Amino acid sequence: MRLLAAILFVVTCARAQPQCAAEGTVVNSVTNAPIPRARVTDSKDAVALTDETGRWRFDHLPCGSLTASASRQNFLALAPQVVQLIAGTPLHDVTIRLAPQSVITGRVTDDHGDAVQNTLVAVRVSRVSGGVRQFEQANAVRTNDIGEYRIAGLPAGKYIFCAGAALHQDMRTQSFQAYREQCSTLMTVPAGYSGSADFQLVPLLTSHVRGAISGIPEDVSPQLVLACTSGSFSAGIGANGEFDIAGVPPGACTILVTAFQESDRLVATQPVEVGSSDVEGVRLHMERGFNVSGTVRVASSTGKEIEPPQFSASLRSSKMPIDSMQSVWNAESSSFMVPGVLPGDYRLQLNVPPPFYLKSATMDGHDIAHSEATIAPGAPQIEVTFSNEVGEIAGSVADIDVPAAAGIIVQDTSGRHWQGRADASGSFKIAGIPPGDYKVSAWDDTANVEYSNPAWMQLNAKVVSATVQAGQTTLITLTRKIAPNE
Amino acid sequence: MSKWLFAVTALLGVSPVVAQNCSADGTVVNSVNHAAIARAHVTVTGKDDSSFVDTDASGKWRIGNLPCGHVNVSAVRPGFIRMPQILSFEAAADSPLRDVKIELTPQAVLAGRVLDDQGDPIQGAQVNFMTTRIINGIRGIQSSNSMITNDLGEYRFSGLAAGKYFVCANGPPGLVANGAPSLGERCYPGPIDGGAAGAMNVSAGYEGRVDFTLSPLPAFHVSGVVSGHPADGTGLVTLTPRRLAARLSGLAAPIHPDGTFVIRGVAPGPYTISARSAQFDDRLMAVAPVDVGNGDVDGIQLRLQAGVVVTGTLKIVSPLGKKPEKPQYSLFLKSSDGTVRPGISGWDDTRTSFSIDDVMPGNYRVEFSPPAPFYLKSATLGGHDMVASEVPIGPGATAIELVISDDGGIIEGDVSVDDAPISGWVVLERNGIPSRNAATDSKGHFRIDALPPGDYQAYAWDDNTKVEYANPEWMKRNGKGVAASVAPGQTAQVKLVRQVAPPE
Repeated sequence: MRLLAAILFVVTCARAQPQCAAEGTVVNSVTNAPIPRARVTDSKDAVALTDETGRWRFDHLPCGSLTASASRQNFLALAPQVVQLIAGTPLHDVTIRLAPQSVITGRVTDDHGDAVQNTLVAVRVSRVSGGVRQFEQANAVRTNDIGEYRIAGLPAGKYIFCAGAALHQDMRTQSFQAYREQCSTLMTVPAGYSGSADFQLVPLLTSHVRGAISGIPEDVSPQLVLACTSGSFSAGIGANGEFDIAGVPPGACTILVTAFQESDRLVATQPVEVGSSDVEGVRLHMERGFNVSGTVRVASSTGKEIEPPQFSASLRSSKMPIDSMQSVWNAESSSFMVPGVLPGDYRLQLNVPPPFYLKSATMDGHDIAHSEATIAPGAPQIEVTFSNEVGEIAGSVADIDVPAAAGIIVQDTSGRHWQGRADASGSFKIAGIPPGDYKVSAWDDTANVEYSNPAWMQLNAKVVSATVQAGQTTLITLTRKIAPNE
Repeated sequence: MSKWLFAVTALLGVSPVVAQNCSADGTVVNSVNHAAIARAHVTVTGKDDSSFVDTDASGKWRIGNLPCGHVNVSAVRPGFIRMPQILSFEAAADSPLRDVKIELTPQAVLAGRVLDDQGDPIQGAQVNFMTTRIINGIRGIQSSNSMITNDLGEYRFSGLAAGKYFVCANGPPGLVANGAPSLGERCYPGPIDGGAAGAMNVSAGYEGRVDFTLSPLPAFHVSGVVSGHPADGTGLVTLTPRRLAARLSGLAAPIHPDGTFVIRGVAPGPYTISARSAQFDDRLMAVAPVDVGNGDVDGIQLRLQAGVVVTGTLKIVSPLGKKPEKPQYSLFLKSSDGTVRPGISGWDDTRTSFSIDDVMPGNYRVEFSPPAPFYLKSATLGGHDMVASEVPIGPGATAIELVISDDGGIIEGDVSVDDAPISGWVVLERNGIPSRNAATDSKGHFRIDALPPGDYQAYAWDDNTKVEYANPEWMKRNGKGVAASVAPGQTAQVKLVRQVAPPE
């Protein structure tokens, strides 16, 4: 065992022409302290353990590029080190940094101070998604029998920790219990932080939602779901269509009943506001829906056609908890039909195979791709145009007049965006851009760019306008900006 | 309720109205220290409805407006295990249920840490919690729960009932595949190979701590050749530890087109190696034991075989010429190496001959259950008894001959303690071999039919989870049987005194 511990390195694979070597250190990125017993690997199976001083060494490596990374329990890996190995010139002092994990612990109790067992504690991290900074759930753990939880492995960041949001089986009453969600204040968690957040949950009174469904064919068994902000509930449907959903906490909900009869889908849906008392007498009627048809035109100067079946279409409503069924296409993919649509306001969802893009989708002249249009029985056809007539944006990126690697973001006025990268020489090229006017920006880290937040962009971005024409390359020069992670 | 009321309600097709003016009260206490339990959640369930109440600070509870009649009473509280038996009472309007005492047993908790030999916590270590339990009448060790250690190497098992337990820690699954040394398994209070007698006693409310230090083990490879493997097919070789505690961490490797395979990172220990072809229409497999010591194991030869087709006949012996009405037969071929081939693949139209596909060559016993009142009179293959012992089955095996009969008898009786009828659990032995088990009704009465004629010993016990009825030594030591002789078509009457099954 001691012998094992004393071994400084282990090379697991014999190599064909060993010529190069490298050695270095693994250190804590916060304290710069060496990390013993870290595992260092290259991209080709070589493995070494650091000694007590954090040092590692690889012998007999093939010369060329070496991608070295390290791992150690309770540390988080940062970007691997990429270095060049040259024959006869062993590489020294390659430093690999590991960030110490952060940990949040705590206890969840109820209003009587009793431990709440088995409840979820959610981690919500501040991050940019879709160009907007928001809190997204990153992880969740359950409390143990004494109400304790422990969330380890957190990278530095801004977090909110919340308990009690989800319904759970209460270990005290053995029934499903809803609590009013409790959240911590915004916590700025640095690397290596160890903190705590306790929660005291207040039970929510729950209610029944009762009603009946009509229009159920004899030979089908509908499924009922009550989707609420606090979670989803289901209940059986009686022989006469009656239902009784128990344990529903206050909040806005939508009842959705679905059934399939052969290839037809029947749907009934209704919003329900649950307060402090039972909701009685909800009435729903199952409807089969109607068909909405559409035509597809391909605008291609090269004559390229879409090979069927490579794309699908559905209708989505912001007021309906369920999308329409998927489209059915004719053999040439020149027309489609969306079956079983209920009356309402919808927008068209399309996935278009590259290199095509959706040039337009209209219904009676109304843009149905970017906004909702009212659809009722007898609705006119949807007219879709695909095109592969695209251009590209190319150019260079500099940072204080020095060519720089960067992430590039291209945006149009409707909210669509494309991303690309400039290499170490600052050169970039982003192809497949539909004709139009764009704003382009370059960043050190696009993950932090709030490109959908005009105020943020005005404050932080240096934007260059570019007009793209089909079959043309638009050349621009960009300045790399640092995207603040805040 | 009067007979008249029953008759009227039956004619009207409605349920009788249940009076709602009953009530119940009582206390909830800790079964170990008899302390009152506050905030216990008490449920009283009547015919159609349930009522709930939480106990006050002195453990007292009261529920009014109960439906009268038969009610079940139970209580739950975090930190206490679920009641094994719900209390039942008859609630009457003029006689409130008073001082119903509900005892809750405090949970036991076992927690600890798993460290490596350098004192570092092992995150992701697998900790298996095993309990000793009666399985098919024999006390064995069974995995009860498992969990993964956190970043501090910590684990915690809560909600444990009093009993005998082992807890074992293994290194994180998959570490070996990444090139790290395998970590040896450790069990507390000792290796489980010693059997149930070596388990630790955990009492109600016990809170204990068991830490583990896992040491690196050398890891070896296991290699060999699988023959009979289709050249264009895919397949997998799996190495599964034969030790119960480590059974969740098997290793696997693909079978190469030339039939070779190598499984790397294997820690020393006993394993079962199995190879399986992935061809859906041609299920081929091979199984063999492998013991990995202090070195690589090479040259393993596995031959994939299609299972053989075993045929059989079913003969019905009925003095009255009866046949099972809707024959649903349950058949198992069981081998002591763990192989089980369930089910019958096909019957002929008269349901007197059958076939079983995909039986791996080996030694098997037959378990066959015909619908009552029929019983399995005999099962033979080539004249060898397949009920009492294993018989080899391979290519070219002769047909299994099953004989069922309805000329069996019945044992019926009552169980009592101090001459008072009491519910219990009845075990029948025939020729020293466990035959049938059955629970009595609430008044201690039982009736077990479709019994092969012969001499039986009948036993009555309080708790079936403690009776090692398939352990002859245990039964000889603890059982007080009553002899009963079953003749064809006859009912033997017995009076049994319920015994208390001794703790381990």
